[in-house]
Amino acid sequence: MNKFAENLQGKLNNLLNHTLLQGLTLEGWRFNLHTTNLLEVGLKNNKLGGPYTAPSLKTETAGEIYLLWSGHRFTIAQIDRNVLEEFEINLELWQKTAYEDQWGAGLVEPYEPPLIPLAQEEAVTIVNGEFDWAFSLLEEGRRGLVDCDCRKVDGGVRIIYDQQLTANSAGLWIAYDQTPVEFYLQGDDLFSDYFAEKRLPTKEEHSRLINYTGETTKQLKKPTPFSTRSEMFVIFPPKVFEAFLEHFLLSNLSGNLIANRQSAFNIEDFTEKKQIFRTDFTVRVDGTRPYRYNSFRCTKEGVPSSQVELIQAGRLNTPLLDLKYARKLDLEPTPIPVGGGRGLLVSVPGIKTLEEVIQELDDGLIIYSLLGLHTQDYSSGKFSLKADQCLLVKNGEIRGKVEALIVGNFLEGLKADDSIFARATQEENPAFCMKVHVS
Amino acid sequence: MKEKIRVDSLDRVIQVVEEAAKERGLAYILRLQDKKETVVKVNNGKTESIATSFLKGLGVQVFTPSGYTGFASTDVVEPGSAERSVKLAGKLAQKVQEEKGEYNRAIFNIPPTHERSIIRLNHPYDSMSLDEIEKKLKKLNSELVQIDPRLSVRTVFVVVDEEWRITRHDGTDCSFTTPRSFLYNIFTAKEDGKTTTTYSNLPGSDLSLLCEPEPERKIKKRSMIAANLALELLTAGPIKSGSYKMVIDYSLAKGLAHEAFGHAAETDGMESSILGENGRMCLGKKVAAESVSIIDGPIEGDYAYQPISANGIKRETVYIVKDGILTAGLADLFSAEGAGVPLTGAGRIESCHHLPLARMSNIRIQTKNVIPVEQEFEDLTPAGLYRILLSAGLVKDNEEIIYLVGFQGGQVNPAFGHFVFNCSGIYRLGPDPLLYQPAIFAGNILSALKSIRAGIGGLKIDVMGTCGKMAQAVPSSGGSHYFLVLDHNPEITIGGETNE
Repeated sequence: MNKFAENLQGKLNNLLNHTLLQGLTLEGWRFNLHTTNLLEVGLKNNKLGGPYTAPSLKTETAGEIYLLWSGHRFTIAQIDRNVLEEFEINLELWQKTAYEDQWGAGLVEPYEPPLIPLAQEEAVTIVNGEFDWAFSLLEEGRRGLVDCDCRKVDGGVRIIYDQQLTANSAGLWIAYDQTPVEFYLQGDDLFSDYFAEKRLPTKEEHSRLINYTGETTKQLKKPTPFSTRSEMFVIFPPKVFEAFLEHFLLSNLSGNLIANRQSAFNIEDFTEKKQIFRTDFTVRVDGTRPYRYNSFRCTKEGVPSSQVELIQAGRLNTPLLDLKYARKLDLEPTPIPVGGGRGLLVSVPGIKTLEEVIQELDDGLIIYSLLGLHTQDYSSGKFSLKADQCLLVKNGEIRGKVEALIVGNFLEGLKADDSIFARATQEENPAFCMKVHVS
Repeated sequence: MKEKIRVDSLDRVIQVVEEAAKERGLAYILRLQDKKETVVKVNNGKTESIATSFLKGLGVQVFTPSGYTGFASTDVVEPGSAERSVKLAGKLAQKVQEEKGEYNRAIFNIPPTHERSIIRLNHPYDSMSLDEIEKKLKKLNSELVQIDPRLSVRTVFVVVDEEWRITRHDGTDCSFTTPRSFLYNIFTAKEDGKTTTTYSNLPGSDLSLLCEPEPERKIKKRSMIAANLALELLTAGPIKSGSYKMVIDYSLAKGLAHEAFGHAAETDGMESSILGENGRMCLGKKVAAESVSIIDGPIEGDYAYQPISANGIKRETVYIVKDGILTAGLADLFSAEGAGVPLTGAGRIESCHHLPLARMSNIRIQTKNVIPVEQEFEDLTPAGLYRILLSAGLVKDNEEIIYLVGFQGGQVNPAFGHFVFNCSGIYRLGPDPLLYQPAIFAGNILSALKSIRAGIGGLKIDVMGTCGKMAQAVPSSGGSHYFLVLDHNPEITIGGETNE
């Protein structure tokens, strides 16, 4: 890819400070490119492969180019492998699609990027042709869930060898490899869990995923009567909590939405460091940890990966800011989290374990699956959802599977003193327990 | 003389795939895609971005004589990479055979297809300058921002020029275009620390959305309704959770058809669908009121139009439900036989890098004995709707009935028959309708359609959406009559608060 990128760099540099036919002068450029080789193997209805989950190998080179023209004009375009062959045609199009933006972003100055290991050699070997590992992983998963009395097992594994490059006309040139690996298992259409990191799962992680999926599926097969129509506590296990964080918090922390008055928060809430949430609630982005799914060297604009607290002890610290909105709001740009809700790391000091919280719960639900989260109004924080896979907890004991409709306000839940955070085994983010209307 | 499209020039790639597969004794389906897209975003009167993208690629799915399959795709559309893709896909298929995975020989049992469907557009992809597009969108967005100082408005316009060519080892060679466009406005209202967001949209197939008066008139009307709703929701209270007699508008009726029935009728999931028994679709089962039919099929000019499946088979228009009886599935090549239903060409893909799944296209609910309405849908207020219901005898004086407006998306679990969809707002109907916060509509597939009591107004089937399934997103659309009236049904619940 480097040769390809060097050619593109050369062509763009030749145009710098030249006025082109349509009267625009190129003042700067930035592009990012990634070449991905992806191996995917699926398991459907206990069977490997098949027409819907056939093992697949996908190869693609794609990226984005950003051009800075005279007169505050800018171009954004997706680019692919053909960009050099069709450079003149593209250049004409890029000029036509240039738009004026007083707040258009500039370029990141060159810097030495943090050396975060994100690519695992073993994963690359599998994508390059040693496919057996992926098949074995799924087969072991299938056998493990069958041993847990699952009649129908579905699953999938994706391994990507991804070569990334971000470059600009100021001299920035950051090239690195990464190997995102995702693996999931589902039992009897009831419950699924996944592993996602930038490395292969260890044997222990694999076994834990099988056991957790199998045991939870077992519990969800035992229905119990339920006719509550009241306010009660519900527990969102970490992955469900992350889905809420993504839908309601990530959206509302977007600098773009805040600057344009489309978020639940105002820019003053950040500049005044307003206390919005509980004093023990901190949310940060940290893309610097080796081999983590949400780690990266730099954003597509070249902003370096780092640790940034978005919410600090309940106070709004900074929105998520790309270069444009950092400039517009006169704040520092931030790294942009990768992996949706998983990219937001919640820390709450001194919390109990999930098992302890369950034991202390008189009456509540543990919610494993929700229908309709993506349909909710992110800006209001309100939700009204079908929880189709839940376990009823009475007097600290799990009684069995129930279904419910839950109604509440997630942003208010994060403020409430009676909400509880709980540490869950092997999960990065805590579980979250809040009071909602249940019917 | 036939009209030339870009994928016509790929004969050499097709020939190489044919030869490489033949040499290895493999059957295959080759999918070639060429897509151009422009996305313009305007935010509170200012251009946020104009972005263009291209996607050219090929995906080849091969089958061993025993029916084991592997897949490879690449964005290098040239003979060398095409040959490599066949080889890699063959290696993966072989691996499935060694592991005793799943096989499917349906590919060997169908006749070849030679179909070509090129849509002629009034205002195709490149027919308007980007300056002009930007100017029109900024004007529209600025007008919408002016509605009320508490509002901020994002406008998104997307136009797509997409071509496909599907060939197979049996000589099949199909070409088709799937042009589409949409205009989308997002309204956020803010006041006293409260925030609400609503949407208006208009789908199409080309730039007509921006250069003809009728679409402009329509989007403005829809936007005015959405903007006012966002403002009114700032002070609306929560509805009480429970089951209600209700009216849903045509956009929610699309949600009902799509979530409550369409997905469960897709035959690739019949082994676990609630509409199946031992993997066979329960044809002949009564699933709805006698007056109700559900139809799915491609409509030229529609946002989700696709005339030919991703497996190179003509897509049929089917009555999934006819007069209340389950009569057909949405059947793709690999699952029709297993589900015991005729093949309807329902296989669709997001891109050439994906494998086809059975999917909907335009799905709509139709009822018999429809109550006619003279006005346009957008001109009917909740109070006006209540008067229609009273005069048609569909509601009695003082009878409790709610009206759900604006589809916000939905989700289904076909294995257990649960489905949900969300609305933008809820009115308690009466001479002075009262607005409540949106709440989830949760139902059960096997009973929901039995509650449909009446359809009101003409058919409106231009509701657009994006349907996600197994990590693939494809355009979807559909609708119904202006309104559907649903009787009280304990298995349909509105997820409100436990006390109003």
